[in-house]
Amino acid sequence: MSETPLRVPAETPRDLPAWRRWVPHPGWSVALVLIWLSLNGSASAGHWLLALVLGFALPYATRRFWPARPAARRPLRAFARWVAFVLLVIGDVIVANFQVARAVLSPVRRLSPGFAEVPIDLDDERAVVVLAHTITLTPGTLSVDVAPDRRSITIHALDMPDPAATVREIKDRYERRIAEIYSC
Amino acid sequence: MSGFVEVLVAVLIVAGAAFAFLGSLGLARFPDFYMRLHGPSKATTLGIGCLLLASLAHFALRGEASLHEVLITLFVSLTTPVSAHLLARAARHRRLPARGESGPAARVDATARPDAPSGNAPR
Repeated sequence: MSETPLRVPAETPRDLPAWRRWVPHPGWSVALVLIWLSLNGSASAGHWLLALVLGFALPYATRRFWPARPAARRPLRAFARWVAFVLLVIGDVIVANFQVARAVLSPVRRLSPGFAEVPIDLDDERAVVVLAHTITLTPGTLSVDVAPDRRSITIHALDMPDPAATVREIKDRYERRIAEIYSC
Repeated sequence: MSGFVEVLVAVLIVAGAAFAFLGSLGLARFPDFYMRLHGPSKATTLGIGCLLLASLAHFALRGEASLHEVLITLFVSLTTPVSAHLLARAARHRRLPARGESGPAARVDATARPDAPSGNAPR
């Protein structure tokens, strides 16, 4: 398999302030601090110290692994769309799990499993990851492979009488919303 | 109030166990690798989610609430699709046979026939 080089993101359009060199992902730092404190179930001085050290050291140490993309221009709107999207996916997971339960209990020969290719037009690598993740979490479909050029995802479906309809649903229901999140 | 929470906890535990069981049943029942992957990657995740919610509600009622369950749910649902994706990708790379796909499925049928016309088949 030939390895196509990843699309290199364009130059960051805005110059970041100097402190952002040392705190490349402020949001992640805050999230890490909160996760550390709630994992330990205590907010004593020692845990605060460890949480702060880890919360700021980890994003700094791994900064080269993150795609060089500008942060959201309208973070609040991006956050609101994230929450709406996560709630939608949770609802879908619960509803559609009953369909999978029925598939598990029904005779296997009534199912029509198969592979399908979902063409994607997402510019942001993180968006592709989120879409592949969502496809796997929502029952009935599994993301099998992402094309090297990030232009399509191969999926496997447990019961797909009409592949075109499944592809259309993924594009309408999930891809469009993810694109909206990352265009904020 | 506490009666309501206890009913909620009971329902969540039964639902979680049922989903986890169905996921495992799918793993055991389905005929090919890709279909088997569907059970544990989704139904089991929801099952674990229900059990953790039940745990959260139970301990919240006793005033010992912690965020551990929320974090476990978060991490399970973040990591399960990654491993499922890698497994599926490896299977695809090795061209494991899939039901409902013309090429490899036909190969499965050929090997499943004991009297398949094959030159050097062991007797």
